[in-house]
This record gives sequence, C-alpha cells and structure tokens, in this order.
Amino acid sequence: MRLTPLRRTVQICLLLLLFVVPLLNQQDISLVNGTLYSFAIGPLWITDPAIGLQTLFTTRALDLTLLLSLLLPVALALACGRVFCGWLCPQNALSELADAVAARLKIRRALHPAPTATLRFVMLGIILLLAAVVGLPLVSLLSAPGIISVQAARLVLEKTVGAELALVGLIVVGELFLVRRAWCNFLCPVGTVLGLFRVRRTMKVVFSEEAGRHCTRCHACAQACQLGLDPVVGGLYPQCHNCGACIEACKIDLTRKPLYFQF
Amino acid sequence: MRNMADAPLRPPGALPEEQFLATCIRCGKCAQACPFRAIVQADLFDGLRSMGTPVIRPRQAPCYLCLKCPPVCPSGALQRNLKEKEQVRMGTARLDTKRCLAWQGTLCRSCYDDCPIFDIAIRMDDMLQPVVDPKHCVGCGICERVCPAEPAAITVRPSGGHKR
Amino acid sequence: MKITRRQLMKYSATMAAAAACGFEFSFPGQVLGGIEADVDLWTKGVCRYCGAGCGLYVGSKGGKVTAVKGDKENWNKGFLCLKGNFLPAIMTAPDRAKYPLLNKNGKFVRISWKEAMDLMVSKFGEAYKANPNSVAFYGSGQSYTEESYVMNKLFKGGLGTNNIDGNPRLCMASAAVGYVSTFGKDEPMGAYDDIYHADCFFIVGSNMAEAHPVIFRLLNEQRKRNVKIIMLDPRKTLSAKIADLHMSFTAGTDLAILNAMAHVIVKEKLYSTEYLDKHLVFKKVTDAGPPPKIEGTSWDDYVKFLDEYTPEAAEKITGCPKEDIVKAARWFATSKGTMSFWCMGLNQRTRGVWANNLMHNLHLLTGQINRPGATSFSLTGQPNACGGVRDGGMLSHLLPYGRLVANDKDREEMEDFWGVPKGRIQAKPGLTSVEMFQAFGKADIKALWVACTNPGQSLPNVDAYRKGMRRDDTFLVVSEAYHPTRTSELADLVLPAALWVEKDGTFGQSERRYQYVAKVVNPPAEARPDLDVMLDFSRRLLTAVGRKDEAIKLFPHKNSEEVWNEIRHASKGTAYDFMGMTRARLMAAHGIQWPCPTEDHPGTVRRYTAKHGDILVKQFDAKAEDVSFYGAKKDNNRATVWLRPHKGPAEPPDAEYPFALTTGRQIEHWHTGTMTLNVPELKRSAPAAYVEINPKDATKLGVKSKDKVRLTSRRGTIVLEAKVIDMPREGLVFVPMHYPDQLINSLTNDAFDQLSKQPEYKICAVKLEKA
Repeated sequence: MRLTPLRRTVQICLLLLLFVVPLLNQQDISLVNGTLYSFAIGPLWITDPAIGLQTLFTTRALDLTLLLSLLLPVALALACGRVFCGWLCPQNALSELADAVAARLKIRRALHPAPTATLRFVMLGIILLLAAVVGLPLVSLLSAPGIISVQAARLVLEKTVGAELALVGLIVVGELFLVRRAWCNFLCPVGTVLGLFRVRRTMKVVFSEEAGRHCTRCHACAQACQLGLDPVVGGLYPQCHNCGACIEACKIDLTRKPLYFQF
Repeated sequence: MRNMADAPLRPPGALPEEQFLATCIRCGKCAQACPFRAIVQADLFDGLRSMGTPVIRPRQAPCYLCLKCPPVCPSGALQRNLKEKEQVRMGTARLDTKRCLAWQGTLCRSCYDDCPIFDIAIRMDDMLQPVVDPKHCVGCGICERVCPAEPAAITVRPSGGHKR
Repeated sequence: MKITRRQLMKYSATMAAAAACGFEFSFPGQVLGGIEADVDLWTKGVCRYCGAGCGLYVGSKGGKVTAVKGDKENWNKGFLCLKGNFLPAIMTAPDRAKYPLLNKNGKFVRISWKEAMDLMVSKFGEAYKANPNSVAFYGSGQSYTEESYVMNKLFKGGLGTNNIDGNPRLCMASAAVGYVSTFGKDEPMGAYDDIYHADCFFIVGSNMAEAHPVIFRLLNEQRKRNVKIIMLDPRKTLSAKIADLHMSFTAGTDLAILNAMAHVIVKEKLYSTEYLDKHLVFKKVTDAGPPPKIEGTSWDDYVKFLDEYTPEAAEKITGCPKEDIVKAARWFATSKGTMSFWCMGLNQRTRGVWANNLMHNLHLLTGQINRPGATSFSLTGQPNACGGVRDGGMLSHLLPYGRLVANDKDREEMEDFWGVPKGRIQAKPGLTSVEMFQAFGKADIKALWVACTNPGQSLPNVDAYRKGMRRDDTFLVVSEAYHPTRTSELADLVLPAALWVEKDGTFGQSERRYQYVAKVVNPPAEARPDLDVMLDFSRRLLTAVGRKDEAIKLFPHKNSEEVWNEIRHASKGTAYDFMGMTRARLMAAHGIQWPCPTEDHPGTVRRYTAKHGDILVKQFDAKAEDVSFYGAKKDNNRATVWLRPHKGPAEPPDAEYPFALTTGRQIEHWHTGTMTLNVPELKRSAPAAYVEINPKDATKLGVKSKDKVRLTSRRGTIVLEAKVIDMPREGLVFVPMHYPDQLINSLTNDAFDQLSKQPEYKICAVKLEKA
C-alpha cells in the first residue's frame, strides 16, 4: 500500500478512537482507557515521555509506575523516530488539514523562518524549569494531542469541553496566518522530547548516494514536506516526523527509490 | 502557599493539594474510570492552577467509594494503594443545623440513610437529629447529594488531600 | 439506649440558652428561605400522606399552594416529616391530569366531560343490565369519607351489588378483621395520647421511623422517661435502633413468638385474673372449612393449647433467642402500661388476622388495655383508610359504621336509612380486591371504576393483573390526579381528579380522629373533585338503569357538607356514633376522636372504658362498672382470646429460591410515588429502587454495594442495584415499593389471608444472582 493513504488511514483511525474509546468506557468496556497524555490497553500502560519528563521536574520524585509506562513510547521513538507525530498525533493531522486549506485558499504567511531545532529545545528547557519552580505541569497544558484527546473524551462523557482547547485554536490560526506548521516545527514539547530519542539505528529517511545520481533535482520531495525540510539537502532530524510524504512524492521510478526509510 | 482549605474536593487518594497540583498530569483517566461520572475535570472558572484537574461536585454527583480511580492514575497523584473506603479522607461533612430539616423540627433522615459508613460517620442523636463524626467521615459527599434542603444543609469540606 | 440525665440537662440548657438569645426553633414554614413571605393565607388542614394524619396549615398565595407548616395545636405538636414538608410541589407537578382522556388504540385522546360521562354511564349501564354483579368499584383509603360513602351508597344501595372494595383490603383488612373478631368492632381503642403514659412499647412488624415518622418522634421522646422499647422485626431497621430489646427472627414466624410470650405469661402467672373473670371468652376453630367452624372453649383449653409454645420451641422455629422471648413477655406483662404498635409486617400476611388476634391476646391476658398507656394500637397506612373505608363500610362485606351485609338486621337498617326497597342490598359479600381484579381479568366484571389508587403498580403479582386490565372486552375508568401512572396507562378512560386541598372533605386517621381538610386552591384545567363526578355519575347511572326517582332521592347532595351530614346520621346509635361532629365543629377543632354522640361532647380518647371517658359504655352496657367490650354483644360484651396455632408464610424460601423477599417503605416516598417522585428534592434523595442485602450474604454472592443484582421469584424477575448493609437478617432481602419503573410487585405473592383476603406482600421466595 502506498504510504500516504496508509498514513491517512492511521490518522483517521486514531481520531475516531479518541471518541470511540470514551464511548466504550461509558458502556463499561474499559479494556482501552485514557488519553494521549496516558492510556492503558489492559495491563499495558503508556504515557507520553514529555509528560513523564515534566512530572520528574514538578514532583522531583520518581514514580516507578510512571517510569515503566514510558518504556513503550520511548522504545517506539528509538526504533522509528517521531512516527507518533507523523502518523498518530491529532494536532499534526489538524495542522496538515489546515495547511492543505491554506494552500487551496492561497493564504500567505507573515513569517518564513527556517526550520531549526534550537528554539524548541530552548522552549522545552524553559517550560521544564518553570514547571519545577511553579509546581504546575506546564507541558500538560501545552500538549496539543493531550488536550485534543481529553476534550474529545469530555465531550463524550460530560457533554462539555474546556478552555484548554483554546490552545488548539491559537495553533491553527497562528499556522494559517503567521508561520507555516509553527507548532510542530518550533514549539511542541511533546515532539521535542520524542525527538531526543534518536540513535544510529533509529528509522530515518535516507537519500541514497548511489541513487542520487538519478535524482533530477525536481524538488518534489522538498515541496511535499509541510515542515519545510529538504531530504536531498539533509539535516532532517530531529524535526522530521517520518511521515513519508517526501518518499511518496519522489517521481523517480527505480527498483530502489533514491528516498527510503532505513533503520 | 495556597490555603489547603480552598482546595476543591478531589477524588479518593489525592495527595496533599500542592503536591497534587504538581503531580496530576491532567490526563483525565480517573474521570473516565469513574462509573458514576462523579469525577469531572475542572474548568477555567476553577482557576488556572486547577484547570483540567479532577474534581468532584457532590451536589451533582457524589463519590460512591468504588475506588476504581486511584489504581488508574499514571503519575501517582491519586495514591494507587488505596483499597478500603474507610481509609478515604476526601474531606469532612459539615452540617448546618439552621438549615437541616431534622434539626429544625421536620423529620428527615436522608443523609443518615445513605451514608456509606452507615451509622458511624453520621449518627442520629437521641432527638433523631443527624450528627457527623469527623473521625469516621470520609468526605464522599453522598449526604450532600441527597439532602432535601435547598441549598444542601450538609456539605463536604475538602480535606486538601491525604497526608499519607 | 436511654438519654442520660447529663445529656438531658445539657440539651435543656442549650435550648434554654438558645431561647434566651432569641434563637427560635421555628418550623419549616419559616425556616426554609423566608417562605412566610410567600403566603397570604394559612388554612388548617391535614397532611395528604400516611395514616398518622398530622395536622398542618396550608399556606397559599395567588391561587397556589406555596407552603405548609405543622399545626402546633394538633396531636403532632407542629411536627411534620420530610414528605409533608414538601407537599406544595405535588400540586403543580408537570404530569397532573388535566382533561378527560379516551384510550383510542393505545393513544390517549382528549375528550369533553360530557362525552366521558356519557360513555361511562353507557358502559356501566350496559354491563349492569346484563348482569348486576358485572360492574365494580375499586376505591381508596386516600379518598375523602364523603366520596367513599357516596360510592358505597350507589353500589350497595342504589345498584344492589356488593362488588365494591378498596385498597385498604391490601393493607388494613387483617387489622380490621382482627379487631372485629377479638372485640366485636373495628378500630383501635387507644390513641396517640397513650404514648405519653406507656412504660413499655411493643412494636412488631413496623418501621415507624420511616413509615410513621412523627408518631415515632413522639415515641422516641419518651425515652427520657426510662421506658422499655421492644421491637420485633427481621430487619435491624432505623426504628429498631432505639429498642432496648430488638428481636430478630426468620421472616413470617412471629406467630410462634407471640404464642410463646403468652405461654410465659400464663406459666409465670403474669395474667390478669380480673380480665379472665370479667372480660374474656375463649374461641378456637375446629374445622377450617370454609367457612371456618368456630367453637367457644375454656381457659384450661387455652393453657393446654399454649403448652407446646415454650420459648425453647419458639426459638427452634423462629431463630429468636428464648431469653429474649421470656424477657419480652415479662416486660410486657409487668410494666405499668404497655402499648403495642404494628403495621404491615403483621397485616400483609396469609395469617394476618391470626397475628392480629395474638397481639390482642397479649393485652387481654395481662390486662394491659383500656387505661392510659395500655392499649393495642394498629397503625394505619393511608390518610383515610379508617375514616372512609373501614368505618364507612366501603368494603365488599361491610355496610357503614360497623354493619355487615351478611347481617339481616344491618341490611334492613341501611335499606331504611337510604330509602331503598327491602331486599335491595345483597346478603352475599362481594368480590374483594384481589378477587375483583381476577374477575376483571376474566371479564366476569365488565366495567370497573378505579379511583384515587394505583393497582397497576401496587397489586401483588402485578403483571398477571396488568394483563387482565388490558382486555378489549372490558371497560376500565381511572380517576387520577396524575397521568400517566402505572394504572391510568391501562385505562380506557382517564378522568382528571382534583388533588388534596383542591377539594374539601373529611379524613379519619389511625386514632379515630376525624379531621376536616378545607379547599384552598382550584384544580387545574378541567380536573374535578371526585365527589362531584361521583354524584353526577350516580344520578345518571341510576336514571339509565330505570331508577330515576332514586337518582335524586339517594343523591340530592349539593356539596360535601351535605354528604357529611348524612354520614353523621348513619353513625348515630352505632358504636361509632359521631353525630356530634358537625362540619362547623370539625372546621374549628384540631380533629375530634369518635365516639362523639352530641355536639357538646368533646370526643373520646379511649374506648371501652367508662372510667377513662367512653360515654358509650353506659349506653350499650348499663351494668358495666368500667370496662366493657360493648361491640361484642353476642359474647356478653367480652373480648375473645383466640387459640391461633403458628403457621408460617405461604411461600417460604426453599432450595431453588433460597432468599425471603420483603417489601416496604422509605421515609422519602409514599406508596407508589405518584406524588413524592414529583418532588425534586425527594426524588434526588431517593431516586430509584435498590435491594438491601446482608453483608454476609453479599460476600457469599460476591456482590458489593451498587453492583447490579437480579432477583427472581416464581412470578417475575427484576434487576436492581445492591445496597449491602447490616439491616436485613441473613437470608432476607428488602426492596422499597415506591418506584413505577421498578415494579417489585412483579415478584410478590398474591396468596391471601382467607379471613381478611389481604395478600402476603411481606414474604415470598426469591433467588439472587449478580447481574
């Protein structure tokens, strides 16, 4: 199956699950429960590593259950990189949709900064320190996927949503008119922490030297990337979501494409 | 330092309020685990510090002490080892004798009838009037929910967390 | 569990200090949000709910009932219970019935009163002409006396059929037959006033704290006098909590305990020789029949009969410790005054009459009767079961004021009084409640009018009867203040009725106190007082069946006062004689207790005793010195001690259905909840049914509070939320009866007492499993 349709399917499934899981919980079917801050499938607990890190700072204590629940997402990040962002995150899906709409309506953004990791690490550092000082989980308040998933559950269970959703609104508006894909690229603490777990064997998009001879420099791959990255130029990480849009956009028809995922 | 007395009513097993605010990751799992929809997530009007945290508003839906929530908390903001309803210390019920129907002469026993720590946390005195025993009241708020007086004559004063 | 002197002093000091500071213990009308300001007028009246019959004032403003407050000058001293406090809300509930409704293929369509009456008269007339006994009326202990009287007169006197009965058959029939078979005449001889004089309270099968809260309050206050309180109940109820001696036993085995207590009294010679010599006869049943063959017998025979009921034997049968039985008997017999209370625990049984007789036996044997503080007091459930139905004779075997249809002289008296031809009133008793609905289900009854009651929820084994009420070839009219109820939803015709103080009339409560309830506000839309409708219908129906002259002669009344005046005359000369209770007197007084033969008579607190003020003793039994059971003329004015053997319930638990189910009440609700579930505060307090399970049983079943549990009996099944609480005995479960969406009566047993025809709601066999 081609990458993009597969990814879209996964994204849509996750969006549906955000509503289906609380609906099932309401019917006392609680095999899966939780939100994108932390959820459980039966006895298996999974917590967002950014949240785990934040709690370390705010409580200055180690909770074993919490730590254990970080293992799976960290393993996934180590193995496949920021696939959560590219394939699962609802904010990412929303931003991609907004970006497609902006393209259709030919909206011009005000600013065009180059994608850089520095700002996001600085942001993360500040947020964590502030959280420790104030004693409040600021990452939680800035986790767009967490907020979306919680508010979806609240809509189902309590028939209401909270003011936290304003962040999502701000993100969408900001990305439509100020900076393209600003949140994912420059600010999101969730993606920042996930991007920390990168080793040599982590799955990455590779532009092969050998196949590069066949590259026509058509820039289709760079244009396909909403984050403004260019796989031919390189320096994709820690920004890249491993969404595969660039790979799919490449028109070179070889037994082995110049762009591909590799561990 | 925030005044403990201003803390809202937290689910069973909640850490002391300051610690709770730092530990709770606002994930909503406890609210989802509650079969009675008693745990709701605080909104902006509950304050920025509390926004998103689980609170219980007994007059709408009290805690029935099923204790399904503490075990699901990922961060330990609700102490997961809470097993017995008698150990719960969410708060203490307070009776306003000037509003209470029974203390004012009309026979009523709804709070006493429905108190889950039956005949211990609320007792009827010799004049058939309810009296709260703070040593045994767990603060679930069932009494506040069933009180026929409007507004409720018996209300729960949150404890500000288990000091455990 | 007594109040210590120190506590009493502390309490008194607090009260005194509070009073000194100007802090008043105000009553609910003043405390709850300044309700006084919402009242233009306070009108004296009576609570709409239980048979305690608390006096109150109804506050109104702008044509609406806005408040109530207790009547401090009445027996209840201004106290009301939770339900009474919230009465105003029932008047304006959203499901008030407003218009006559015709059931057209399951849809209720509004019609005019004229159409409704025409239809009703035509259906009843048609059925009557084909077979006079195919029409029936099922009335209520919540209707005013005037309403019940008019229907009784129509059916028995005007139409000549005895197929008229009422819902007190389901709650008080055993008590009524118990009083009649023991004393010759119905109704308690004592009063609430005895509470202040009794030293020992013996309470059986009654959860007064929840079912008669204000009476319970007065009783509870007596604890400052060092009284002894004995409670027999298989549940450790809130009432039992104040008992000095709580006797628990296997449900339905209490007859053995009562006989065992008599055994102790006899063996230890604690009986009253005076009563033995002067006031008692002994009777037993030698052949069950029916009809039962009764023989007089002797004291010696009675003593022999009691031989087998040793406390040890009773303990084996009942599970109640023999020491407790002995203690209870001794306290009962030796106290300065023993007052007993009982209610549905004894009445709603297949041996209800026997149980009542055994209660009276204890009082008669020991002489604990007919003086202040000593009396056997049956508590009544409905506000006018006594006044309208028992006293007024609106049961299928009765005529007004102590008369029987089976008695030739009584029939002649009523035929004379009513001015109907001799032989009009049938001698054979008509169908009783359960029989009536069985007959309706088979279309033996073709036209049935149900007024002011809810059998579609309250009949035992209710599903069978609900099915019967839906036949196409029968006609069911329901007069109700609310629609839909579980009964009105089955009706062919629904008539909207005025509720409580939207009409005026007389209520008679447990202690023979008749009270006037005044009209305060108008009924909504086209709802009409039942009395209006009944008079109208009676005239029209008699005309339709060819008795036009009788129509006006029998029913000339223009208002409830005129009916009441006729009623007073009907009581004249009987053991009830309340000729002196004119409407004017009732309006001024805070209730008057009958007998009250003349307008200057103050009413009678205690019957059967000349020393303590029963004027009728001298009238009916000139030779009596003090005590005379003048209702029992045939027994020389002596009361009967019945030799009643122990018999258990009709459907005890067995291997397949190992639990006993009993139903009962909560303080927040009354009867089928049509009124109280309309009060938001009461509904929030008690929104749904549940099943009380003993903690040991719950552990064995693996059930916790709030788990769903399935209860199944041989007749039906239901899923309820569990309430695990140390209240019912092991092997017993309890479910409240108030909830229309959770018909526990689908499970209960419609086996009934052969003497009273009252069904055994209190015990049937069920099995439980986690749902």
